Amino acid sequence: MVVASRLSVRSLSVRFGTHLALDSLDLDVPAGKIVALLGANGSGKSTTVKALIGINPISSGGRVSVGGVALTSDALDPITTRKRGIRVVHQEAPLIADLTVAEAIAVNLGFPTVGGFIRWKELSKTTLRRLGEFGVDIDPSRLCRSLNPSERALLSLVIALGDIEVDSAVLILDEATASLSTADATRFLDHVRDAADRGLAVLMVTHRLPEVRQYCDEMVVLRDGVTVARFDSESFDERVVVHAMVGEAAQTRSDGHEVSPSRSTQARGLDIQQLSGEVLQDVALSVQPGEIVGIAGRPGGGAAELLRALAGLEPGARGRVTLGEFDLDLRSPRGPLGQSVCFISADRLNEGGIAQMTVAENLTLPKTERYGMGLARANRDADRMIAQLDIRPSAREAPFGKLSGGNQQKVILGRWLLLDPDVLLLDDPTVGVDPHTREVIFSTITTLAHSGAIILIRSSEPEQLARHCTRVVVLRDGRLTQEFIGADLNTEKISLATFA
Amino acid sequence: MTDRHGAASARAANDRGFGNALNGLLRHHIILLLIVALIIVFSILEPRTFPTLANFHGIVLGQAVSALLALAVLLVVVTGEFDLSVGYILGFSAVLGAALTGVTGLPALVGFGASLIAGGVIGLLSGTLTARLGVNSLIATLGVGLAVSGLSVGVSGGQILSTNIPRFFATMARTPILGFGSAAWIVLVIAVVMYVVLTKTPVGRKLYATGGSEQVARLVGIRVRLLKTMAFVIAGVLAALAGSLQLGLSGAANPSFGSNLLLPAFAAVFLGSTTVRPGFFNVWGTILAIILLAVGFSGLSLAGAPFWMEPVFDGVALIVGVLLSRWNVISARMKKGK
Repeated sequence: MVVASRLSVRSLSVRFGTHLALDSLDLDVPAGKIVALLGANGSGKSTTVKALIGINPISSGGRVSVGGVALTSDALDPITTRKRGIRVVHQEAPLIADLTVAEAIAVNLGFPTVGGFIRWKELSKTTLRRLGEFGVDIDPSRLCRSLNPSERALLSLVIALGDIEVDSAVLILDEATASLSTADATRFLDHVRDAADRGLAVLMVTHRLPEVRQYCDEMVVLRDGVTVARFDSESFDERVVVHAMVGEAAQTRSDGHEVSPSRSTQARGLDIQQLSGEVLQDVALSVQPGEIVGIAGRPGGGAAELLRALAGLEPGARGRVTLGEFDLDLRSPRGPLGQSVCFISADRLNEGGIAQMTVAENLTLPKTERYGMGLARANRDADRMIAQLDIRPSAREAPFGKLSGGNQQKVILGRWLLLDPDVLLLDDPTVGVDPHTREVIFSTITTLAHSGAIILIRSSEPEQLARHCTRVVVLRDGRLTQEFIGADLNTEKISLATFA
Repeated sequence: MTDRHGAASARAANDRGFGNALNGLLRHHIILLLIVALIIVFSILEPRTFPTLANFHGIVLGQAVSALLALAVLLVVVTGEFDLSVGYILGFSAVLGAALTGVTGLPALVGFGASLIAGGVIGLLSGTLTARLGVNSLIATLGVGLAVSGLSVGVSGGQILSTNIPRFFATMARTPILGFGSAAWIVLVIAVVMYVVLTKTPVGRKLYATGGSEQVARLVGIRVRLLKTMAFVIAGVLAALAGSLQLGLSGAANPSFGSNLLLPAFAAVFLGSTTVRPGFFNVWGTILAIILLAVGFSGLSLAGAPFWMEPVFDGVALIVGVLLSRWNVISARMKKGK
């Protein structure tokens, strides 16, 4: 007798406009197995997860069945998929900060009541039982805000699995371990493995290859929406997987590796010594004018934190950072800005531009006093940037908030170009932007570097770092652990350091 | 704040088609249209009393204090904070000026200067609590305002102070220039200065940026805390000046006077943000809103409406104004509902 997979996916495609984000994915997650879905950013992993829980509409011809029961594309909505037993644990557990653990569980799974009133004693008892089933030791009366990331993840798991039978359900982990330390991730995945051994089918999206090796039975690798490789625990090899993730073309290094400081007479070197903070541990780094230095590493490992510290956004940062003979005051963004050190945040929504102000106003916001009362010069500068960076619509009076992500990013870039920065810090500048904007960003920073500026860039796209950087340093657990230069500077090495 | 963004973006969309002409008109000039409509209606209803120069002068002078208080509210709201204490500062300033001059017998200029300084110091306290110490501005200024209202009663002994008020205050507020009392001219000058500062100078762009996104403003090197503190201080001084004008206009200081003006001032600022530069708190929108409320109530009272109709009219006008400025959103939603 053929036992159907718990989750079976055939020819699943997702199309956004003309863009095929996911191309005929076939996927089987049998009971008791953990299947990994791997791929670089933008490869279609999240698209798949969102399709399976009914958030992304799927193209016709795709078939999804859970426990042998087919779900038509109409039935693929969040409520029905939930009824069928599909549960998701996300990276950021959506827990209400002011609820206790017991209340947070009950909000999802129901309160025990008598005559409409909550039976608090019963609630605390069932909570303890639920937590106990997973061997989780958290006091039910604690507030969710007091939980650490590991406890939050475990609580999310308890909630996800609380109202389903493990031998008829599907659990999807959407980078659920991304913000956990290795030890906490292991603890979390041990619980998942245990549930799988009792019959749960698990689909797991992750960037961490060691945990894939340790916990997963099968692996599916996506690139640009296409399934490019499948492995099982026997054939799994981290190098081959990374190779499959980033593809052949991106392996080769190309231009842009020579340091050519042309304004070297005034150009100043950046010297970082013993920089420490909440995450950073004694980081030391010297950068010459004209260099483009890639900062790589796992999320939380210190790459983003290093850039933010240099931008004056990590108030706890201590250490000595000099630009030329000037000490940088890192207590607020004004210190670095005063020395022409500019920062582009990865959090475009909160740290990008001002939505209701115009493109021109956003472009000329830093040191706006240099324009005085006359707006003619400010408008001229704005028009120059709109033309140079091809900002669309090319209207300086358009509200910034109405621009696409890519064009917003161009405005943010243009805002700093107008200041002619000595150091430009870019924290994942291509996240959520279109290919055209990516080109503009990289050609701009290459030109800047040629004129003697220093560029420090973090990117979730290793191939971009390999292509454009003069060298790449890797941060792990807050320390600078590796440096790639010359022949070592390639996508595969960076990907391994970032994901493995 | 989302509403502000929505309004700004819809403005861009509206610049395109003639089909949206009505929406555009409603969106940009709603208050002006309402003022014109009210003037026409009341001129027809009360042709002998309403459309007269005397009534016009009266309306303008009568609104000078309210308008100045609204400008004080506006300055802080632009930076993304609220100052509930300005109404109480107004009352305190009037009482302090009257007590120092009329009761203690100090020179008028000393009393006037002391009340302005007191307003600035109270603003500095609110600004420090909010910008430096991170207290929510609604809570901080509610606390400060309550304390100040108590001080007003303390200084005045709970009485309305009306004896020995120096002529200085009346001269400052009531001297007619081109038919209008000087208080109106003072407020007009302040409005022009605020308009220029807010829309034409780097400081104005920084203030709006701070209100738009404090974090982005910080990132581009704007001294967010300094600007916010400054806004509170100047708002305090403006509210105190409004108190002195009130003292000059009425010849008496009532410790409980300012608090009645607080909510209408806020209403005018919010109503004003639906017009002139929709989506942005702005000076002329605020002034137009004050005029709208004054014209409306003046007409109603000439038509025999009782005094308690004024706040009712203010409240209804605020809601109607905001609804009309959102008309395209609302009509789209109703169509979708069908």
